[in-house]
Amino acid sequence: MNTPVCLYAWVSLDTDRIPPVLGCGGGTWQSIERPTTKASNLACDAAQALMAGVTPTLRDNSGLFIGSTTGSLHDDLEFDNSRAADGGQYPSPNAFRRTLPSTLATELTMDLGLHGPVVVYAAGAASAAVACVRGAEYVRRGMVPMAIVGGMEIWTDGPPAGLAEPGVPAEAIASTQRRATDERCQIVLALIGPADSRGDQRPIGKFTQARLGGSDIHAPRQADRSLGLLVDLLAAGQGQMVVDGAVGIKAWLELQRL
Amino acid sequence: MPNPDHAMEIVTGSAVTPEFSSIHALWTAWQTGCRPEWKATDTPASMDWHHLVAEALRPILSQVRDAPRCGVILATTKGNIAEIEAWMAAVRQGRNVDRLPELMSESLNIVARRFGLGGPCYGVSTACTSGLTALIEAGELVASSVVAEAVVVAADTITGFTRDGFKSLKALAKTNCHPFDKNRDGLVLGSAAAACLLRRFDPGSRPERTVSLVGWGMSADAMHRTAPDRAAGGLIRAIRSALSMAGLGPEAIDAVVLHGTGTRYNDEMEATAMRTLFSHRPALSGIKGLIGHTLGAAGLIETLLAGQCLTTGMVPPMVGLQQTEYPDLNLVIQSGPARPIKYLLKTASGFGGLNAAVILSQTEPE
Repeated sequence: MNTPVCLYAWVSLDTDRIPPVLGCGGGTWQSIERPTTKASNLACDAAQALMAGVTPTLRDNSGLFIGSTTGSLHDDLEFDNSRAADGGQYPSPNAFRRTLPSTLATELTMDLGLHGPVVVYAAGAASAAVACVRGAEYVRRGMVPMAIVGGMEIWTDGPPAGLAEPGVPAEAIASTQRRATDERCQIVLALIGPADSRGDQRPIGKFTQARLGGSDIHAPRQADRSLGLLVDLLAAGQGQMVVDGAVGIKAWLELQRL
Repeated sequence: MPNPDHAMEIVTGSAVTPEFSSIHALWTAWQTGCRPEWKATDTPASMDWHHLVAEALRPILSQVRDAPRCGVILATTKGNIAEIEAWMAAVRQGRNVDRLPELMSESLNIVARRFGLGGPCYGVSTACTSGLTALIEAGELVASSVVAEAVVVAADTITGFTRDGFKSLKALAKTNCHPFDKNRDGLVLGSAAAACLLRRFDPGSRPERTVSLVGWGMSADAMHRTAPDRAAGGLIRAIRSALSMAGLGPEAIDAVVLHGTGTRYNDEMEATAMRTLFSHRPALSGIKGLIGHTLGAAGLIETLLAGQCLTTGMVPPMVGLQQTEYPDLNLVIQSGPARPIKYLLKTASGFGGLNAAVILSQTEPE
């Protein structure tokens, strides 16, 4: 990469774990304070913690690059149920408004006042990694001054819960893990930018590699494994992650501690 | 001559809808105003998502130089929604569903495997700007030399799920789609798939004139889940970004192919943007009155048709427009004589306040 792209802060949560806040770097967010929570609230709280101290001008122009395997499936089911109820007379407009994979991302733009580019990526197991690589490239090319990158998944209850933990039946997840929130979700967000973009705030890491490659175009369906790998990488502060996304894509991210 | 660092040649493109089998057929219908006889109440029949995608992809594959390394970007709002809808019905009925439906990345996997496209491939979903977002992503991938060429595929099909959703929002037209018309009352939905091949513009490699992307921009209104910013701040920002990348002033734009959904709010917002940016009154047109709002496919299919405007010098009428509500704007109601078009702007806006803009230019051989 010609212009170094740096990591300034990151947050991670997984409502299937206790405590749900898995990690935080470069910021102060440590716990979920809302008594009842929806995934969109959690995502907005996490992103607000991430952007604390970022000037309004930088916020205004920052981009948002998010990966998601399941997209809006959780909300699709809710709208579909409203279609089926009462003989299909009253499909819920509020539920329909949320049936796009980009819904959660656009809610973040409203909450944070982001007016720059927004892209939501789907690349199977590499969705979050692809979002990180692409976001870093937008920063490197000077298309955005800073970017929020990462992945967000809202898990559905019932059969598709198996996606969160491949091979683990939904009942097993439900019986062994207490649900800490109204919606089960996993969110990993990182704030990245050029070395000098945050004024006095020093970056905590530097991406020495962020790239995509093709791969064999075959593989079974998988959850977004890059979410977990990304958390490990960010928590370690340095290292490398390689994800074979199984849709003809491989993503590499290498982080060096500063 | 566009900046070769940014200029991306649209080598070839194709599009299909249930009513039209090619870009040529669509272009002819747009020019002649021959709209198929359908109304909002009987939205055009949807087709199988994979069938539509395959029909759109086939004509362009012969132009791909290196399929194992060719990038693929898929644009869609809902992917294979018919399959997802069937899966949701099974879940609702309590049937023992032990698998997930075909999600976007799996649809993409099927497409890439079927056509042997082995470079980086991923899907993008940014509501009704998805088609333009995918085009921009492909442009960025080629500009960054991640790939030498990239295929962009954009597709959405209309099922009961989508139709009921827009109906619940009261966004569907009672009759037909009449963008920018005094009597417009909403949008009409349509199924479609489009595909194109993007490659870095090389002025010495082509004997004929080509259509290139010379600038692009994206933005977010950050205001409302569905309604656009009435001051058009987001769209204006996206257009300014595209103009800046192309190194152009607003006065350079000769024509605009608008998003033009036919809803009150969208058309009003776009009119505001045009009024704010373009005092020289470029020709404004759109085609949703012809094929409906094709959601994730709209941006790409309309960009490919905009390319036809460039090569022919013709800007066909805004389909469905009879009595303009915006006499101060140069909305095309009747076809005029061909004239040179150097730069053309294509815009799109979508739910969540997402906006995208691309600038097309016709490039001459050296």
